[in-house]
Amino acid sequence: MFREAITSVAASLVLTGIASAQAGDVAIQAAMGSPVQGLTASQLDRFQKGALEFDHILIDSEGLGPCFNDSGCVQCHSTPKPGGSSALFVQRFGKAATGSTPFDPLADLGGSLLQASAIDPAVQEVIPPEADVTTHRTTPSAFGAGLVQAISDDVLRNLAQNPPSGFVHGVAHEVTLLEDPQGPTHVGRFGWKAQVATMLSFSGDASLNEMGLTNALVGTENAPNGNQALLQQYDLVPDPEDQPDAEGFTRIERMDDFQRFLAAPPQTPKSGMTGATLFNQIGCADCHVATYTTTAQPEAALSNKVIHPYSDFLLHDMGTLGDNIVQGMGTEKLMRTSSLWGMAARAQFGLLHDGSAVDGTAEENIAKAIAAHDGEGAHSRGAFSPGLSAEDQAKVLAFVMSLGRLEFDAEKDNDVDAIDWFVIHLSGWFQGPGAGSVTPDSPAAVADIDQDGDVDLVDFGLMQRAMTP
Amino acid sequence: MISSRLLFLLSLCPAAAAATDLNLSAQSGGQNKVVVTPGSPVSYAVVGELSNGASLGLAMVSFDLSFSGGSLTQADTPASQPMANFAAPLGLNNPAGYGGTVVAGNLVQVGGAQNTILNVFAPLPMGSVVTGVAQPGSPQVIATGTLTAPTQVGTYTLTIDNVMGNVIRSGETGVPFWAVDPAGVGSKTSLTIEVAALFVDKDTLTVSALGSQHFSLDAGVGNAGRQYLLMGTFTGTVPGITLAGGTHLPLNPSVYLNFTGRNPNTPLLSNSGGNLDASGHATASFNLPHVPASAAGLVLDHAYILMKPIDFASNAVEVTLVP
Repeated sequence: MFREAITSVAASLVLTGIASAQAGDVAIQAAMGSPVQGLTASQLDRFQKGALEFDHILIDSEGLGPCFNDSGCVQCHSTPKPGGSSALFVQRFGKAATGSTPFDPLADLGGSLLQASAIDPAVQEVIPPEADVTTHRTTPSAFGAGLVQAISDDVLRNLAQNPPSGFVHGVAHEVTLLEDPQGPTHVGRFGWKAQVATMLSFSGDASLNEMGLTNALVGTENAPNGNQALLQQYDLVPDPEDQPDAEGFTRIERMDDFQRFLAAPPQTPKSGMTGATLFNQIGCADCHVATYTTTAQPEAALSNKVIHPYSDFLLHDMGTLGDNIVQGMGTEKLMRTSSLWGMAARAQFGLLHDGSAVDGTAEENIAKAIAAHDGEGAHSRGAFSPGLSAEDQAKVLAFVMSLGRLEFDAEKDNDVDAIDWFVIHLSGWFQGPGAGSVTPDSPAAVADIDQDGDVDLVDFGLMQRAMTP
Repeated sequence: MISSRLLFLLSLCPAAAAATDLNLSAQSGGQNKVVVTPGSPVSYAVVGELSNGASLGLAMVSFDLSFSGGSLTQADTPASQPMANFAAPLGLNNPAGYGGTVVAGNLVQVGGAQNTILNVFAPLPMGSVVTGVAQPGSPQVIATGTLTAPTQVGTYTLTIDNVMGNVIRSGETGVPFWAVDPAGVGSKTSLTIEVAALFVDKDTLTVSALGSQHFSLDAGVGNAGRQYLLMGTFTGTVPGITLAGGTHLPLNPSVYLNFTGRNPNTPLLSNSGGNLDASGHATASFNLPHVPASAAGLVLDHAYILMKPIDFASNAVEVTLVP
C-alpha cells in the first residue's frame, strides 16, 4: 500500500513536470524592432508613426545640415532592425588636459562631435589641428530604451552608493533634461558617457548634432567647425526646423515615441545557463547588473516590468579603455557600463565604444572586448582570462550570446521562419515530452521555450505563435 | 506605393479580435457519464469546440489525459480530415504519436498542429492548412481511444488537463505564414465512468401486489465462474461494513442482512447464491411476499460479494416499497 502510494505520488509529480501545465501561458519574447507588448491601440499608432519618422530621410529643405553625420536615424540605427545599432560610428575630438588646464572639447571649432557630412562641400567639417584627442563612437541600440528610461533614478543612485564589490565604484551621472532644463537632475543612462537621461533628450540632441535639425529642445544650429559666417550662408531653414506635423507632433516627439516603445531584446534561454552563473561569479555582474523592475509610467506597457539590460548605467573608471573625451561628469577615463542585452545582434559588427573589438566571430569579439577591460573592469577581466578554463570561458561567451537571441531562431538571423524549424528538426531536437535531455546550455534550448527539458508539441505551438507578427 | 517597411509596421498591429477559448469535453457515446461493467472496454472521444467564430478555426491542440481508474494506452491517430491534418505527416505531433506520450500511465500532449508555418524543408509537417476546424456549432472529435474500466466498482474519471491551443487568425490567407493566436482554455469536461456490477429492472415494488425486482449480476469476464452471495438490508448503504480482507460491502448491518447472508437462495431472494457464468454473469430476484400496507416506504438495498477469496463487492441497488 505504502509503495503504491509513493508510486502514485511520484507518477503525479512526473506528469506535472513533463506536462508543463503553464505551457499555453508562456509569453513569446518580442523580436528586436517590435513594439513592447501591451501597448494600447493609440500607443501602437504612435509607435508606428514614430517608426516612419525614424526611417525618414531628411532633406535640406526640411532642415538637414548644414553639417551632419547622416540624414536619418535609421541610417545608423539599423541592425538588425530599425532602432538597433550598426557598424557605423561617429568621431569626437578635443584637446587633452594639461597641467591645470582641463580637457577642451574645442566647442568653438565644432567639437567635440565631428559632423562628417555636409549639404555642401564648403561646410564640410574636419578635425581641427588643435585636437590631440580623437575617438570613434559606435552606434548604440535603442531597443528597450523606454524601459531603461523607466528605471528609477534612485535605484541607480543606490547602485553607485553601495557598490557590490570593492573593485567597482560607479558614478551616477547627474544630468539635466533638455525638456526640463530648470528641473531636477536625473541619472543619465544613454550615451557612452551616460550623458542623457531620456529618449526625448536624446532625440533632441541627436537630431541637432547628428542631422543638423534644430528643434524645440536644441534650437541653435552647429556652425561648421565654429564658422558662424558659413552657417549663416548655408543654414537657410528657419529655426526651429523641426515643426509639428498635422497631428501636432514634432519629429523628435515621433522619434521619442518609436524608441521608447521599442521592445527589450529577447534572451534565449531565459535563464539557467552555466555561463550566467560564471558571469556572476567572476564579477561581470558587479557592473553589468542583470535585472530591474521599472517604475510606474504613463504607459502600462512600460510600468512595473522586469527587464534584464545587464548594465548599472553608471560611469566607471575604465583605465586605458577610457576614450579621453569629457562630457559633463564623464571625464576622460569614465565610461558608462554598456548594456549587454541585444549582444547577439551586434557582436559581429564590433564592440566597445570605438568598435575596436572587431574582425573576429561574435564570440571572439566579445572575448576581445572583455580583454580590453581595464581600470575597474580589470579584476573581472583577469577572472575571465586566465581565471577560467577555456571551457568555462566558452560558457560565459555562450551566455552573453544568448542576450538578443530570439526564441526558435535556430539559424540566428533575428527572425523565426520555416528554416528555423528545419534546423530544429534536422538537429534532432524535437523529441517529445519526457525526453528531459535539454538543458539551458544545450543548443536545443533555443527551442525549449517552456524550459521543461525537451522540445515537444507545446514548444511547436509556441513556435507557431512566435512566427505570428 | 506602399513600402515594405510600412507593410512591416502595419503587420505589427494585428486586427483586434475577441479572445477565443477552446472547450474540450471527454465523452463516451456522446455522453459525459457512462455506466459500465467491471473490466469492460470503454471507447471515449475528446470533442473540441471553440467559444466563438472570431478565428478561422483550430491550428494546434494539445492536452493531457489521465484516468483515475488506471493506466491509459495511447489514443488513436486520426485517419480522416480535418484532424488528419494535425497528425504526422500532414501535421506535426510528438514523436510518440498523435495519441499522446505515455508517461506513468497518463497520456501527455495528445494532439498535433497544422502546418501553419508552411514548412517545406523538414520532413514534417507537410500538409496544407484547413480552416474552420472546431468552429462553434461544429464540435470536432479531436481524439478517440479506448480504456479499460477497473475491475472494482466505483466512480472514475477521465480527466483533461494542460490544455493548449492555437487558432488561425481571422482574415489570414497564409501569406507568408498562417498567423495564429493563443486560444484560451475554456471548459474542460471530464468523462465520468461508473463501474457497476449489479443492475436491476425496477426500483419500486407495490406492497398491495406481489412482484419481483430482478437483478443482473455482472462482475466482468475476469470473474467468470466465481462464487457469489447476494445480500440485502433495510438500514441503508452508508457507511456499510468492511469485510475480512478489506472489501467494503455497501450494506449496513440489519436482521435482513444477517438473514440473507446466512440463507442463500430463499424464495424471498432467489438465486442469491451460486456461481457466475463464463461471462461473469448471473441473475437473481427479490420476490416481495405479502406484507402489511404499513411496509410502504421501506427501502431495501441489495449487493453481492464474490468469495474465495472475498475480494469484490458490487454496488448496492435500491428498491422502495410503495403503496
